[in-house]
Amino acid sequence: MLTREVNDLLTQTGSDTPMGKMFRSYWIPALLARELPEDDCPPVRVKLLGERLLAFRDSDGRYGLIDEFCAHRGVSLWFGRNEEGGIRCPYHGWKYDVTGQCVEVPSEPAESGFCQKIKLTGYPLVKVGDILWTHMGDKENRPPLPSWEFCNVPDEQTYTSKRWQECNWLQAMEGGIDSSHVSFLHSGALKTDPLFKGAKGNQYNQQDKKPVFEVVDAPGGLFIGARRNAEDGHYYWRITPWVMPSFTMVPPRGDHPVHGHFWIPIDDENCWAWSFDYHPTRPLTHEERQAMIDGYGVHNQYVPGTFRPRQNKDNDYLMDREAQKRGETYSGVWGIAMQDASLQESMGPVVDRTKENLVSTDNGIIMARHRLKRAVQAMMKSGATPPGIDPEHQKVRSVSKVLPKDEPFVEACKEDLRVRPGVKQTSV
Amino acid sequence: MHDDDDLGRHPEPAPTFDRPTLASSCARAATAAELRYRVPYPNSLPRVSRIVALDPGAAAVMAATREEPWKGARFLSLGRQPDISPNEVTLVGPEGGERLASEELDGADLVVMVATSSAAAREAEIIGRLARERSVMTAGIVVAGRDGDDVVAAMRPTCSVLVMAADADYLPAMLTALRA
Repeated sequence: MLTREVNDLLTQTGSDTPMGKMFRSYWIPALLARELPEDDCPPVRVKLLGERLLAFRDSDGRYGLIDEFCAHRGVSLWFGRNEEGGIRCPYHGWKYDVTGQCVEVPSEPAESGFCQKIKLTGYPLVKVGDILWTHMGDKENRPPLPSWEFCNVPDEQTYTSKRWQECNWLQAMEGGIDSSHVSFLHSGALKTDPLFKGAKGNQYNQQDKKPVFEVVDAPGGLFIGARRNAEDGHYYWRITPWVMPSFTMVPPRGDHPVHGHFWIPIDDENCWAWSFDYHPTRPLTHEERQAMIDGYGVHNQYVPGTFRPRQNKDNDYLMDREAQKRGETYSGVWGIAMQDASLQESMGPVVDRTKENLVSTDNGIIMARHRLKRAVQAMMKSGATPPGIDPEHQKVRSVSKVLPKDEPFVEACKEDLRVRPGVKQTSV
Repeated sequence: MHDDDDLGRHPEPAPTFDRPTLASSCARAATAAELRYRVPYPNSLPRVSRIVALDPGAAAVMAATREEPWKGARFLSLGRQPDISPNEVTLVGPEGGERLASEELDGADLVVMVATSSAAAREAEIIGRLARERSVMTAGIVVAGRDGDDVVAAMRPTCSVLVMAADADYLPAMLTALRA
C-alpha cells in the first residue's frame, strides 16, 4: 500500500506539483504525426499534464503547441484559422505563431508593438519517428531529443498508436510492469492474437502461472525479470525495462515485433496510453501492420474518427460473457489493450492505494513507486536530474530468454538488454 | 449576430448526429470542469502605463485610485513649467519631479488621460499627439458632463478609447481592464 500523501505525490501532475515538475523535465509524446498531416491543416486540441493546449502545423511546416485560448477574450483557438504562418482567432483576428507569440492585433496600429506584449505559453513540438514530442519544462534545461529505438528505426519498421484511457497515468503504467497478469488476463490472446501467437515462450507462460520476480536497478529505472519454469534446470525469463517516468517495453515473443508503451497524463484522471510495435532489423509485414491497425496486439479499435477505444466504459467494454465461458477470453473483454484498460479504469479515476494488499509478484510495482518517489524528492530538494533523461538510459530493449537456473538474468542478458543497431531482439 | 448578417443565403452544414462527444469535443471542452485546465502561466508582458490628470478635479480622482496595487502604472499631473515649446507640456510625477511629456511617454505602452473639465483641452491635444507619434495606445476618461465637450473634442482625434463617464469609478475599472 501507499500512504495517501505518497499516492498524491505520485499521481498528481499539474504544473505546481512535484510529479508535474518531473514530467515536465522529459520529452513526452504529444501527438501522432499523422494528426497534423499537412501544412495549414486543422489544429488539434491537446490536453497534457493538466494544461489545455492547441497543436498546429503552419504554412511552412513548423509545428507548434500553444495555450489553447486567445489572450484577448479567452476564445478557444481550436476555432482558429490556420493560415499564412499562424493561427488566427476568428473572433477579432488576433494571430499567433507556432511559439505562441502574438504577431498581429488588427485593431491596434502595427507600429504600436502591442502584439509583442502578447505571448501565449508555447512548447516545442518536434517530430521523431511517427510521434510529435514536446518538452513542457524550462528551455534552459531542455534535454536531447528522444533516443528510443522504436522511433529511430526506419518508418517501415515501426508503428505507433495511442488511445484515451480514463484513469490516472500511474495505475495504467503499473499494469505495464506487472508481468504476472499475463498468464491470466491475456491467456486467451496468447493462443489467438496474430501478434502474439505461435511463440515458444507462450507455452512457458501457460504452464507456469506462478512467476517469480527479480527486480534490478538500472540507470534509467528498472529491469523487471519474471522467471517461469522451463525445461529441466532452466528458467524462462521475461525481462521488462521500465524507464522513468513511464516507458515500458513488453518482452518479445518469437519473431513478432516488439511492443511497449508510454503512459502520459492528460490530467490526473485521464491518460494517453501510447503503444508502439517495431522490429529492430526488418520492415513490418503487411499482415503485421494491418493487424496493428485492426486493433490486435497492444493496439485497439476506435470509435471512428477518434482516439477513444470502441470498447469503453460507456458500453461496458462490450463484455462478452459467452466468449469468457468458451475460454476465448479470460475476462470477457476482447483484445489485450482493452483487457488491461477495462480493469485499470474499473479501479476509479485515481485508485486508493491505501486499501491495496500487494504480494510478491508486485515487486516491480513497489520498486517503481520507490524510484519515482526518490527521484521526485531529489529533484525538489536539490534539482537532481531525474533518471531516464539521459539518452543512454533510453537505449534499452526487452528480452525473453531461457537461461540455466543459476545464471543471474542481468549478467546473462547484459548485451541483450541494450540497443544494438542491426541486431535482432533476443526472444523465445 | 451582426447587423450585416445575410441570413438565408448560405447553406447550413449538415448535422452530424453520429459524431461522438469526446474529451476534446466542444461539448466537454467548454464545461467548467475542463476550463479549470487553462494553462496557469501569464499570456502577456507587463505594460508601461502613464496616467495623466489634466485638471485638479482629475488629480483628486486619481489620488484615490493610485493607492491601489497597480502593475507599474505611473500617475502624473500637468506641470507648470513656462518657456517650453507650444507643442509640449510638462508632467509632474509622484515624486515631484517635472519632465517633458515627450520624455515621459517614451517607452510607454498605454497613456490614460483623465479630465473633469475642459480646462486643459489644449494639453490633452498635445499629449494625445505625442502619444500617437510614439504609437502608444491612448485612452481618455472625461467625468464632466457637458463641461467636458471641449476636452472630449481635443482627445477624439488621438484616443483609441474615449469614455464620457458619469462618475469616477470608471477610472480604476478601466486601468484594471487594460492591465495598467
